[in-house]
Amino acid sequence: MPKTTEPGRQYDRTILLLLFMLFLFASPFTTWWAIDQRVWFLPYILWLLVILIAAWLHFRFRNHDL
Amino acid sequence: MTYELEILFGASLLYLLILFFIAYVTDSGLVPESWTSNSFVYILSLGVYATSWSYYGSVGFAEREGYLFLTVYLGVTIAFILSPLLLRPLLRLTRVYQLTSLADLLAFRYRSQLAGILVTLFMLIGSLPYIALQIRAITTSLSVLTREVPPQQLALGFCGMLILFAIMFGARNISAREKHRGLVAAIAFESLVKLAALLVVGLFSLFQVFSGPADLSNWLASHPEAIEALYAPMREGPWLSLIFLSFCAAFLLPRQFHMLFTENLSIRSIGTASWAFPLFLLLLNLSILPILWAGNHLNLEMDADYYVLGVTLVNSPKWLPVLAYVGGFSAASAMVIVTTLALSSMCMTHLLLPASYPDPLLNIYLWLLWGRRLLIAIIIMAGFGFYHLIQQNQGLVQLGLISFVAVAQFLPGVIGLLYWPQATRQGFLIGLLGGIGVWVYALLLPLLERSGFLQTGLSLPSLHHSLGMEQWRFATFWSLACNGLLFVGFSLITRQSSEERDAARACYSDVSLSSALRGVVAAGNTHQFTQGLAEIIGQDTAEQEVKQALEDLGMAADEIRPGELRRLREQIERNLSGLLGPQMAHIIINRQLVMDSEAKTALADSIRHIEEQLESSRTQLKGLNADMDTLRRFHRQILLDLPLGVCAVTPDHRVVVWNLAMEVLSGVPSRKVVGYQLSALSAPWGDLLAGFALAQDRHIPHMEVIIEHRPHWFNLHKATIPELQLGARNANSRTGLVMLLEDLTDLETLEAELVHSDRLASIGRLAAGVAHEIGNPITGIASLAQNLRDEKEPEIIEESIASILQQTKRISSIIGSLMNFSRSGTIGSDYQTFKLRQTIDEAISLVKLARSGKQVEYNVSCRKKLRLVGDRQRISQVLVNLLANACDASKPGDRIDIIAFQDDDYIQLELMDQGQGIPEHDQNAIFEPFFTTKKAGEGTGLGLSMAYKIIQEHQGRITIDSVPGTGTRVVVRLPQHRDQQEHEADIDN
Repeated sequence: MPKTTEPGRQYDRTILLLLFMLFLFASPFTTWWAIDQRVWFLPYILWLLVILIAAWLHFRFRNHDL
Repeated sequence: MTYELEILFGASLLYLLILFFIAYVTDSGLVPESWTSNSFVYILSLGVYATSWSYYGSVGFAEREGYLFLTVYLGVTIAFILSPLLLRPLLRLTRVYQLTSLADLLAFRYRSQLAGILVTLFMLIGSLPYIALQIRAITTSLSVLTREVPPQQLALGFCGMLILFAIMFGARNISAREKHRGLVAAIAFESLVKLAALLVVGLFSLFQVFSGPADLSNWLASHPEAIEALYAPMREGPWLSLIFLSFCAAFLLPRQFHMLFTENLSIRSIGTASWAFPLFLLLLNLSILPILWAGNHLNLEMDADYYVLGVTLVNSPKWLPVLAYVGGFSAASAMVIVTTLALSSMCMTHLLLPASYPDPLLNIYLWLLWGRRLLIAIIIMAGFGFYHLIQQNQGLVQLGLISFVAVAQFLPGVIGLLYWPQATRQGFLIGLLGGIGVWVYALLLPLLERSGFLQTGLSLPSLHHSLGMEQWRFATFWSLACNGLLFVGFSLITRQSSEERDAARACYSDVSLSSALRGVVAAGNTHQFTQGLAEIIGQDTAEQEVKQALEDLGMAADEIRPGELRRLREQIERNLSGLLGPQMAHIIINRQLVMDSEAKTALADSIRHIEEQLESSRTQLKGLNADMDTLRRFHRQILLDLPLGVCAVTPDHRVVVWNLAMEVLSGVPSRKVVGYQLSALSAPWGDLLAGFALAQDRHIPHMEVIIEHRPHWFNLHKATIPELQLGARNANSRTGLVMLLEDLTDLETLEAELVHSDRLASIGRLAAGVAHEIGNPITGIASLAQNLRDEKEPEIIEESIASILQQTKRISSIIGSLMNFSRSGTIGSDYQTFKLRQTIDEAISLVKLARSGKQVEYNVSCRKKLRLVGDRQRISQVLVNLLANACDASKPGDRIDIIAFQDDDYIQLELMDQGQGIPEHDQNAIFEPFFTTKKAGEGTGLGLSMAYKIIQEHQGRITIDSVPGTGTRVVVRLPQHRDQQEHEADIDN
């Protein structure tokens, strides 16, 4: 299988993160965690998780931000 | 606790003065540039997204709609996560084409002034409620703190100060390339202030209103309905619609577009913003719920929109409400300033300029600057007017969301711009009008109706409910659905103009450059550029713009290369686009700098430009394109590193490739050559290559070229390249050329050294004979001299002296011959006309010095006047080598015949010996270097190969005809030059 280029991998990861975020915040999973009111700050935790992954992606591919 | 209005007004004034100070010191360069260009300053400046709606309204939103308030930030997070696919391509476009607003971008892509006008008008109408919202937030916060209705003059004063600030720091100059560092620094400071204020109020709520996190947990445990109120709207409310709207708002709102793209200093910053800006928003929202619950805990009797102020009024230090107020003031002022700047720029380029273009005699820069300043004032005052129109009972969130739905209407157009090159202008305009229609019907009219400004009689709420949707979901879904369907439908049934197609290609992430480079600019130099532009934009402006574009491209003012002039034209269009908008710039450039569409443009003409563009957009290439680019780079590297000089030219003999070997050979760097005519190259390259390009011969061997007074030799080869016309699939009749230069100079030098070595070797072989030949006369001289000592007879003395002189002459003759033969001749020495007979005699006398040479008889048949043109020394070397071989092969007493005669245009020289001959199997190899049949130490094997080489240099031919046992016949044919024949005829006459 041909090796994916670095920008290509960055785009792939970005799309995966988008899908993950949509899964967390815009899917039936959202309704699931919203039904059972576990802790009031749960949305903040999930939001922070997405931000941390985005930061990791940025540092992983920052050479391609040129 | 209440506050005096004057105190709060003073605080506002002080705060604005601090903003002025920050902007001023930054603009003056007192703050190091590295600070202001730091990514985090840029990210904080993006905090302009959080307006008074976020600052005050989020608490009210959370009170009414629970966690729906987070959607306003989650959508932004999605947009920033997608920055490699969404924001970075947009940033690239805005930077490359100097597009300063969304209206510019869409007008550029869809090549439509109408698109620009429509976007600007809609953006203006959509933003006015938002500006009004900020003014209202300020006045309401004042009334919360003072418990009295503030006078209208206060709101007017607030607007006046914002106008002043926006003009001073956002419209100080007119150039789009000039970034407003002071403005960015001030807006970043505003973000810090509102974040700090909100966090302080949040901490106050947590630790003062409640007694800490444990107390808050207890309160929540005793009020489970508080958490239920947070989650319930997530399941029932317009969760997805609001996420979508905030996703659009993240980069389409005028203020966001302005800070994200127009004021961006480094493309790297947008990568950092992909996570840092959502983190900023997260921090901003941490305090919202503690403040809400603190307000509920305190049973504040006010709208939850203003709990941020309300909680600070109970048992707090006196400074805290002021800080909370300043935080809200900063959120509102930042929004108004940046939105106004963005809108003023759009209004100028898409409304004012098309409506009344200034007289070219006026200074267009000043006209634009003052026009923009006037527009800033008008827009802020229009926001103030709208503030008067709307009813006080509109929630902050309602006003904000109306703007969000408005800007979401641009999303189909932007997606088409980035990812659908077939989208058409008609599709975009009709889709946008459809979306606007639904927006007006579903949101604007109800707002005006509720405000009492308009009575429509439409029963919108019943329509929402009949469709099972609440208002936001209804407005978002139907406006976007209508917009998107019309956009796609009309794009499919309408056709793009060629201009639109070019713009679509430029916007599409896989850059296609060919179409943009078709044709040649009719103006032939930069002066004509200035003259053409001056008719529309005035002489001074035209001169300045041409000069700026030349500087941007690093071009000289005397540039005349068509490819470079085409690039200059593009650069001027981009620069003017930043000044006058893309459509106006396009019209001016098309009208004043006409392209000669008849002129044929070869792909090769634009090769440099295309390669530069590919290099700069390399990181954007993906998939097959990236592989193709790698392949292209590989092939290019092969061409560049080829050890042969490569020069490729277009059909009209303009250089397009000049590789590294060519740079080394010529000492001329490719940047000084590429794009120029061959004939314009410096000597000797211009004449050499232009001459070769026109020559019939495809190969010229061994061409001598004098470079810096030293001879160099080259083999020249050329091949034609069928040229591809840009945009055409097939090669046409015009052909370019590729020329190869093979440098033979080193080889020549080496060969000359070998020839010299061979001569020295010959001398070595003659040494014994030489010693003998010189020894005999010296012995004779010594005897004569001895006799002279005692001799008295004058006659005998005279006779002895004559004999001594004769012997001395003989020695001198031998030494002279040797010296002539052995001197190290320089390669390429001048040819001369010489008598062949004389050279033959000299060669015989040299060969005779050797023992074997003495024992054979020489029979020479050559006219004394027969002359030859050539290198006498080298011809002599040939004769010595041939005679030495003949002597070596002959037995004592054999005869060697040497015949020279003229045969038409040739002089033929034949050497015949009666020796043993050459075996048949050796005859094919005798001209090869180091081939010898002699014993070791007797021959170097270079003699015949040198002879062969020398005769070839003289454009002659040497053949050997040998019969073993009978003898060998060597035939040398040398061309006789025309002038040589004439010279000979003169002598004969």
